[in-house]
Amino acid sequence: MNEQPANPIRVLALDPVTRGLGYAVLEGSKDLIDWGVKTPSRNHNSEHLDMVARMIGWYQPDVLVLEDCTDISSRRRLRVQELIQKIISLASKVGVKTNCFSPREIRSYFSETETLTKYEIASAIAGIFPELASRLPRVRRLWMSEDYRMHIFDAVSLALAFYHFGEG
Amino acid sequence: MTSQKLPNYLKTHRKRAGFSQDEVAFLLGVQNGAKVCRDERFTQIPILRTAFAYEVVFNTPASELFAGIYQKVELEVSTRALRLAEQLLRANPGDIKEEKLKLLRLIGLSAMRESPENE
Repeated sequence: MNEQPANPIRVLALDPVTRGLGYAVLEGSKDLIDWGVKTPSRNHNSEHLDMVARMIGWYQPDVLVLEDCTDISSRRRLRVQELIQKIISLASKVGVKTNCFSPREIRSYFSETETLTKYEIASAIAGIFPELASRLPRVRRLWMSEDYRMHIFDAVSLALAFYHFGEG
Repeated sequence: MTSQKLPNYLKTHRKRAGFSQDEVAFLLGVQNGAKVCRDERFTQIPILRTAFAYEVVFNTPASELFAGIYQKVELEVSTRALRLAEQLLRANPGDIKEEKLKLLRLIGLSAMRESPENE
């Protein structure tokens, strides 16, 4: 593993979407422990919450990181906004801290001009973590819907934002 | 705030290597990936032979692969080492060999330095 403090902060970053949940677990900004996209058997918020509860039990994170939907740069659907609020409540009940970062803050971490596209950010992340290079989707065209693998990179970008900006 | 290490990092290394659970199972010499899945989910602690097999597969010391378990064992042993040093000093203050005492203290202090409770 990379050189890190003996017990770095373990972050579970989540990118919930209507059809699934992108996630990334890091122990320090250079150590990617796990990543992926989980798809619930039924497309209900309750199923998402069950998945999150299991992941919290499994990874025992110090911090849960999510998108800040209150920021103007966030374009989440209402259902996902509600889901994020429920995840924050769940984390609070089990004693896990949460931190939220807006898309604008994430872009500012990767570029001073905040003009990077999601693909460019994902490419930068694949450069930091070569194990993610095989998961990098093709460049999205206008007629394409977002590749599900992009949610992995969205989750990783949230975690990196936490290590950069610190706890809010 | 810092956290304890996870019991093991088998899944991390498997995904980094690009192996499936079935492929790792084959390398370990077991029937299918179910055993690997149980190991990765921390539902069982592998036997020593399997731990060494994982070490070979991932080219990583078992103490790193099973970092959380190693951390707990290290703390327990170091606590006992310091206790043993105290007991030996009380029982035979003039008889105890200097090297032995030094070693016990080294064992005792190594885990204490890295223990999250002491940070």
